[in-house]
Amino acid sequence: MPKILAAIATVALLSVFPASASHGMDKALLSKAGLQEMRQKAPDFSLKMDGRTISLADCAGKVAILHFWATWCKPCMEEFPLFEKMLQGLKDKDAVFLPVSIDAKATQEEIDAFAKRLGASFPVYLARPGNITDRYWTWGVPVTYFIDKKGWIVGRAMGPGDWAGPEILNLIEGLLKESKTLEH
Amino acid sequence: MKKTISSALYAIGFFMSLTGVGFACDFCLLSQGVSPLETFRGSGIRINERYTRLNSVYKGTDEVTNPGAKEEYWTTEFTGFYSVTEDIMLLAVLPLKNTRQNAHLHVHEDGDLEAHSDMKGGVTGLGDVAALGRYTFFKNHTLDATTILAGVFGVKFPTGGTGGKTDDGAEYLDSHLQTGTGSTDFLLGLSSSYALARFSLSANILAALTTEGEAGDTRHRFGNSINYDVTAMYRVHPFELAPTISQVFLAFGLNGETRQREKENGVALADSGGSTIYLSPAIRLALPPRWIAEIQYQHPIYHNLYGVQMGEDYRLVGGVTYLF
Repeated sequence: MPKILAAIATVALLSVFPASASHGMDKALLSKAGLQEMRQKAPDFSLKMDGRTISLADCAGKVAILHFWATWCKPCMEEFPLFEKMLQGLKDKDAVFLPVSIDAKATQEEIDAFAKRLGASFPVYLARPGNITDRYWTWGVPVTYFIDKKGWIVGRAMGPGDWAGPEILNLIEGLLKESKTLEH
Repeated sequence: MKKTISSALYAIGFFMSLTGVGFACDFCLLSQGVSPLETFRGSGIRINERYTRLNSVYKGTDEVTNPGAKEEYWTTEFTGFYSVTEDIMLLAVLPLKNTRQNAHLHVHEDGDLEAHSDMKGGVTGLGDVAALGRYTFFKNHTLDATTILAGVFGVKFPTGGTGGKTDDGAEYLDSHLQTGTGSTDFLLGLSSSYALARFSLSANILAALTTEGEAGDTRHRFGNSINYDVTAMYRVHPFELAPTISQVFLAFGLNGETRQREKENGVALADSGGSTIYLSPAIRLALPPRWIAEIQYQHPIYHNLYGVQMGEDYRLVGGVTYLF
């Protein structure tokens, strides 16, 4: 018993030291924005639209915001105006927004009309028939990944977010300022 | 505000389904009624009702004939939890207890057992209040899995009564039948979870370091104890999470406690302490945006009780959580 208690005490004492920063960006920005910190090379993906294929390589050198949603997800709908507002502040910046519907049956035309009804001026994508849902966690929506200029996932937002809020904009600004050659 | 609540519940649903908050440690501290490792993100209040029946007698690992003794425990726990930061959560546990024995198990020197029905009795009242803190010191999120490690520290205060007597008022009830322990105890634990898609696995361990207190007309010290559990949980509905969709989880756990012998006036009691291990199936329901309900059955599969003691037959736990 004393040995076990000593082991527990040791671990508890060690626990006062927070985990070290795992990448170059300010962890506080992630935390304030309500994101889970991640450090993982973003898996490649392909999204098809109007006969064109978009992949991770197309996002190179840009901050990519990869957002998964569905037409049956009510909170997802409420986010569209917020994303619209967020994108107004990102015009002419090295940022790309990829809202991907995980709907199993909807067509591209249907999700286009759906997004338009919600006031979105940005393009929306269907996960099918590509491989993106195999490579990114999409067991729940909405879920949003932030990928830095070098292609690393730095954070993930589970659930709805205040996408037009200052915390998110500060995070994106922080990612935009990061050097493209940042060492991870 | 609505969005915040929705996000919180989603996070909780996600946390339960992916990082596996276990039905941890409901065997913890039988006499105190504390379940400190059951924690959520966000803030709220949880009300738990736990029923425990002891109607068996064990000598070590062997079940022996019960001469007719029976004990029952009803514990209503109010647990408030508040996230100070993303990694630090504070919890306060306030238990109300009702205990009852229909006869006292008496072990004669020659080993014979007798049920003293003249010593029936029970008490109702406030148990020992506990305050706990939980610090998450390691989080690792990948695309596939989430791993979380947290430390738990707490103090249990002697707020419960220790002067309960038999119905005839002639004798004090045994210390474990009182609503309180009479002692200030310290809790130290570790909590870990690993989640992969709809499946999660959690493991928790909690040590209770006891001090001496007053029970009846004696100085009493419960033995130090270690509680542990390993719980697997699977989200059976829905296939894909969404903040507004109710979620159903099935869980299956292995949990138990090992406790040192108690001491009365500094002398170890031969018929106290030991180990019990349970199998614990459970079902949990999350109802957006504020409610979570759960029910769990704990069935003992192993007893190794020092000397001769009453052993648990089963326990049933139901709980409702309300998120602020």
